[in-house]
Parts: sequence; C-alpha cells; structure tokens
Amino acid sequence: MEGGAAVRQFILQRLGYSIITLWLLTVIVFTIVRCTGDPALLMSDYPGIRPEDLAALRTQWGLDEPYITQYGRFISNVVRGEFGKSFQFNMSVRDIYFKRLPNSLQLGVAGFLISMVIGIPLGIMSAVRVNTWWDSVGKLVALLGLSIPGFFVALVLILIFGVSLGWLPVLGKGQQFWEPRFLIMPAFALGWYFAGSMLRLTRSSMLEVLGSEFVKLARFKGTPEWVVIAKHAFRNAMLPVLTLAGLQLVLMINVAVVVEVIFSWPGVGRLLMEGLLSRDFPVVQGVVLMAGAMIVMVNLLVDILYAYVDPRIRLAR
Amino acid sequence: MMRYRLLRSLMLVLLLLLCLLWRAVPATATTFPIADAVIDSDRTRVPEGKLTIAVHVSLSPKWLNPQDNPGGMAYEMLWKVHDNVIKAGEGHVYSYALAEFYDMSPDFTVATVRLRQGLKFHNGDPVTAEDVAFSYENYHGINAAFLHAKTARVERVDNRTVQFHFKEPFPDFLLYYGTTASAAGVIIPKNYYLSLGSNTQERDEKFAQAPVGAGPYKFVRQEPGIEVEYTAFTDYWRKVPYVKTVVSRGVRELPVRVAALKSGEADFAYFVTGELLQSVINDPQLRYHPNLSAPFWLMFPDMDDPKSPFHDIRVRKAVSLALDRQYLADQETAGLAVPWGNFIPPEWPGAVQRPGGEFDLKEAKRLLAEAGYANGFAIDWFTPFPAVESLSLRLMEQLREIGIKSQMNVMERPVYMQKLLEGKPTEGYGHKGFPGRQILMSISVIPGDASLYVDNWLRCGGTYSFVCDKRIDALWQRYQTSRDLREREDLVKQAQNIVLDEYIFVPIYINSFTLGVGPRIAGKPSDYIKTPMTVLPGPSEDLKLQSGR
Repeated sequence: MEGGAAVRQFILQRLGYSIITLWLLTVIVFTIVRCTGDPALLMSDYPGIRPEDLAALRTQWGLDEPYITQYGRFISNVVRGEFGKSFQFNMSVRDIYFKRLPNSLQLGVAGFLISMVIGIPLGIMSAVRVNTWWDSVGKLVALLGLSIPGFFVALVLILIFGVSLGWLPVLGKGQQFWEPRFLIMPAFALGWYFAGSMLRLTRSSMLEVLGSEFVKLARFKGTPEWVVIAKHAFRNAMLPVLTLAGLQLVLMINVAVVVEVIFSWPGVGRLLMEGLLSRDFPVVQGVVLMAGAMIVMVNLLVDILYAYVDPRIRLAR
Repeated sequence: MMRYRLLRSLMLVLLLLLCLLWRAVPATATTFPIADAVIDSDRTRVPEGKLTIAVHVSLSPKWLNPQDNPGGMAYEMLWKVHDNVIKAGEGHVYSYALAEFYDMSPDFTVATVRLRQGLKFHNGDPVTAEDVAFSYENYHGINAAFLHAKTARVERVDNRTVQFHFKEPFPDFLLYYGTTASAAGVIIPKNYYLSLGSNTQERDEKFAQAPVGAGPYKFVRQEPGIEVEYTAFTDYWRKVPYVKTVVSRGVRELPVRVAALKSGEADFAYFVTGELLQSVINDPQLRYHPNLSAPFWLMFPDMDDPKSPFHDIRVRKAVSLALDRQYLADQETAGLAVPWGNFIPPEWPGAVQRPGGEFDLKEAKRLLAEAGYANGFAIDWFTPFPAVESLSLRLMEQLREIGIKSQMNVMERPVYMQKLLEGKPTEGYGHKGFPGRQILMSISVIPGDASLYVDNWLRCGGTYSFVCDKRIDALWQRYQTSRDLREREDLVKQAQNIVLDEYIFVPIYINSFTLGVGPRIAGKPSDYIKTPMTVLPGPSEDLKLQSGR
C-alpha cells in the first residue's frame, strides 16, 4: 500500500474508533445520569409543591416517556448539534455551554501556562541537578502540587490575597472578558495541581534522555552543556510531556469544577457541578459529551500526527 | 319626655345589635386583614451606588419568570424585578402592593382586586386588569393546577378591576394569591410576554432571558446560574429605590461568601453558619442578623405500631425532655437559634405559639422506666435532615443519656425527599420511605399559613404526611367545609395541639439562616429583616448604602 493511501486508511480507521467511542459515551452518560434518580423529586423540596405539579414537570421535561424515546431524542439532538433544554435554566444547553466555554478557555489556558511555567523549568533543573537541593525543591513542589487539594489551595489564596491583603478579588471574572486581576488566583489554584504532574514527568523524561548514548556523545564532542540540555536532551524529552500537556489542557478547560465553584467562575466546570446537583440531565449529558469529544479529538490529532511523524506507527496497524 | 326615653332605649338596643353584628360579620364575611403599603412620596431621590448579595445557591434564570415559578429562593430574584397584587409587607403577612383594594364576597365565591392608579411596567406599559387576569390564567408554576381547578372564570371588570369567580367557596384564595404559595399574583406584562413567541415554552424561555416587570428593579443582564444585575426603577410605585445597581451572585461555598463579605465584594451574605459564623460575629467590621427561618423537629415513623417503644406517649415525652435545646442552639448556631415548641414557625398565621420544650433528664429517665424501658433501648437509625449531621450527632448523644442508642443514617437531600413522599402504607404500620425503628429529623418552610402545614404534614394522605390520625382528619374535614375564618384557625390550632401535646412531633429549635451584613450597608441589620415568612433581606427598594460608600 502506498504511503498516502495507508495514512488515509489509518485516519479513517481512527475516525471510526472515535465515533464509536463517542456513541458509547452517549450511552454511558445517558444511563448514569438516570441512575441518580428523578429530577422532579428535587423540586419536591420546594415548599408546598403538590404531586400534580411534579407530574406536570415530568411531562414538560419528557421524563414520563420510555427511556428509548428519551435516548432517541437525545441522539437526534446531538446529531443536530443540540443537547436539549436545561431543566434548571430553561435554556438551550448549547447556548449556555458556548456562553461559558470562552471563560473556561481563558481559565484553562492561564492555568495551563502556569503549570508549564512552574513544572517544566523546575523539572529540567531537578533532572540536571539531580540529588542536589534543586532536585529536593523540585520534588517538594511536585509532592505539594499533587497532594494538596485544589480547593485548599484556592481557599488559602483567597484568605491571603483576597481577605488579608485585599489585593485580588475573590468572586467571579469581572465584567470584561479580559480582567487579569480576577484570573490570577483561580488560574494559580488550577495550574498548581497540574504543575506537579508536569514537573514529575519532565524530570523523569529528562533523566532518561540525559542518560542516553546520544547525549553522552554530544558531551564527548565538547558541546557546551546548555546546548546539550536545550537542544539535545530537552527537545527529545518534551515528546511525552507535550502529549500529557494536551490532555491536561482539555481537562483544565472542561473539568475545573472545584476551582470554578470556589471562585464563582462562570465556566463549564461549574455548569457541570450545577447540572449534577440539580439532576439536570441535558446539562450533564451536554457537558460530558463535549468534554469527551474534545478528548477524543485531541487523541485523534495526536494519533494522526504520530502517524505522519513516525511511519512505524501507521504501518504497524 | 317618655317618648324621648323610649327612643333613646331603642337607639341603645339598635346600637347593641349593631355591635353584635359587627362582631359576627368579620368572622364570616371578610378576609384576612390586609395592611396598607407604606409609600414614600419623595420622588426626587437619585439612586446611587452598587450593592452585591452573595446568595448560597445558583441563580436560575427561571426565577425571573413568575409564570413558571417554583417558589422558595426564586423570590431572591423575582421580587426585585416583579411585584405582586398583594404580598407580605413590613410586619404584615398581607399588605397591599400593586392593588389598593381587595374584597372577598361573603360566600367566598368571588374575589375582587382593584389596581392602584398610574402603575407602570419597566417598558413603560401601564399595568392593567388585563395583565392581572392574564398573569393568573396563564400561570403554570407551583400550585397552578390547584388554583385553576378552583376557578370558574376571571372577569375584567374595568381597566383596573378584576374579579375571580370560583366554582365553589374558596376562603383560602388569598393564601395562595397573596403569599409565595404561588406566583399567580405576580403580574407580568401580557403584551410583552405574548410577543416573545408562539407557544408557552418559547415565551417562558425568552421572558426569563429578558424579563420585564413592575418591581423596584429593572433587569440589566445575567450570567445564567452565576449572577444577575438590576438597576433601580425610578417609577416604582412605592418609592424610588436608594441603591442604583444591585447584583445577586450565586456563591455556593460558605468560606467564599464570608471571604467576599470580609473583602467588601459582597454586602450581604446568606446562610452564614458554623465556625465561620463566629468569625463574622467576631469581626468588628461586620454585622449579622439571626434571620430565624423554621424549626427543626423529630418524628417517629413507626409510632403507630403497638410493638414500637414510640407507641407509648411516655417514651416520646422522654425524648423531648432529654433534649437540652438551648445547649444545642448555643453549640450549633452560636446561640442565635431559638428553642421552640412547635414545628410551624411562629410568624405563620394560625401557628400555635409555644416556647421551647422543657429539659429534664431525671424525669425523662423516670418516664422511660415507667414505660418499661429502664435500661433504654436501641433503634435502627437516627436519620438527620440532609446536611444537618452535626446537630444530629449532638441529638443522638443527648438521647444516649437516657439510653436510646442509635446509628446515623445519612441521606442525600433528593433521596430524603423522595422517601418522604412515599408516605404511610395503606395497610400495616410505619412509613414506606423510612422503615424499621427510627427517629427522623425534619424542617419545613411552607408559605401560606399553618393550615398548609396541617394539609402537607398532618392529614392522612398529605404530601409529606407522617400522621394518619382520625381526630386530625376530622378536624381537617371540618376545616375544609367551614366558612368561618375564626373557626378554621381554631381547627388548625387543635390539629397542631394534638401532635404537640402527644409528642407526635418533637420540635427542637428555630434554625438561624444567619444573614452576614457588610460595612457599607446603612442602618441596622434588623432594618432589612422585617418581611414575615421570608428570610430574604428587603424589600429591595429599602436596601440602602451608607452615604459615600
């Protein structure tokens, strides 16, 4: 088979897998949200509501129909790029999602940059100066990043910079799209956890590369140390780190639930939380499906790029 | 002279008769007392400043549409943008709002409402009888089916007057129309609403995005679920609001609400509890209000089973006597909660007023011994009201003092509510949702009056009914047929007394929905907690910032 045709077949095959994955995701999310119970019952918490009011709600939300009909409507909506209407907000889930997505992108990218800025340089320094105090500091940061929960970091930041010093606002994202004052604390709280995993992966990857034959050869040739590190070791060590970074970015955009809830950040993570708490099936289905689609898309792109870069991968399949 | 005396005697007799009639008539022919609104005639005020309210829940856009209204916290947003015909006012359960007159016919089949003159919606349209009638007829929120089933027709008498004709006597009409038991009395502009789409669903969705009302604040913008911004409506009939911009912001996390209050980003913070409440109390910059909501109480799901220890009134009384309510209030709410002896909040019309129950461990142990449980007994579960585990642990400890041992059965709120709705079995004893031997804790805020608590909790087959007692059902039957408002109130009180005297329900304390108040707010916190049957600070047009803040 010629190279172009092989790549084409490989891409089509991957695309098919992606569609099957997404279809399975629709089945799983549809089933699991319904296992949580009847959303109308949450309304029974409202004072004085009568059984006939609850029955009217079930009819309005289509919950009195058979599951297969509900699933059919869900799929038909998805095919048309819709996710139905939110029970809680009485609005199109697509509209709410895309209204909040730019805010999550802003927070996710900022958190991602912070995790890169902390994780990669410290990871490199830890690997280059292994078993020195640089390495100890790096390991400590990784440990703290991975072990301190995001909500705790967020609350400590709020207490210090919001309440005690009064330097930064604690609520929301401001009226304008770009107001860095509002972004600093949530982005740091979000990026902190991912910085830990980034640091650990960079360190281990760099250590592996620094011990390889071609790095030793570069050193024997008398290449300056910074060139060895920056050009030979770093570039090779970055491959797994960048793969992880791509997935982390998608996660930061879609599931920054805790940070978004604490800082009252109007993103999709908070939307997911609101949907879960109120058993808002269309919202949960929509957010989970969009997050799944992004992850599948990133994986697909990575696979395709790998196939282009490394012929062994495509020929092996 | 003789003639004059006779005439005078006749006049006296006539006067006496009139007095007697006057005593008799209000009890049967009039409705609940409705207070006049306090109107501020100063229309020159220029609203200033911005005030932010940190609300403890997400803010649904649905809450801006009274037609589709679920009740409860929805009034946080609803009462800013919209207004009722009649609603709770300062110190009064019923107060005239958009209406200046209300009357119920002596046979309770026709209610008449007349609007004030010169009322306007935010878009400049006048508020008319047509809007009042449409808001009622098209209403499809909580209790809509119940109201519509009772109503024969709604008549537009003139441009300001509407008459509601009922299929049968409906003495409770105002209970549903003038309280948060429904939002059918919240008026929306008919023409604007109808212009938003071709069907109700479409109109509801668009109306919630861009609501127009006749309330003290105009809607400006919203981030669905996150925040809503309003601006003062200077043509509001009662007064020109003091504050120009009000923002309601959903902040679910308590530490963040408190942090926002301390940093000045929020001026009011709802539902401040636990250790963070103490930090607000200790902060000299901040103030607070206990903002009492409703009592917690205990129930015994299997008490109708003769084999259950709780079948014996002495055991139930021992449970009540074992509770040190003041200690519980001190530990759980920094002393802000008030020990109380009824499960219905005291400000609800028709609620029996009972102070907190007695604490007497010795007597409790004696009663248990007398009932044959000198060494106490173990029960399957103590089921707390969801998210009230800390208080429940203390209650379990206090019950252990008299030998009642239990394990906690924690439930998520939806599960708890679902089980509550399952009700009593048609045959046998106990409760379908809460089987076995257990003590169940609850709290309930039902807008309206005490009769709705009897309807929901006490009568056989009520929505959350825990009691199926022939005496209470007989009282309820009489209540439903009675046209005498005094008798009806008395019947509701009798029903409460049965469950309280016989310790069928054991009240604990009125919970504190503490309101945190920031330094920029003018006046005392109590200035903002004066509307009966709501924990929301207001009314919104009365919110005021300190000058220069």
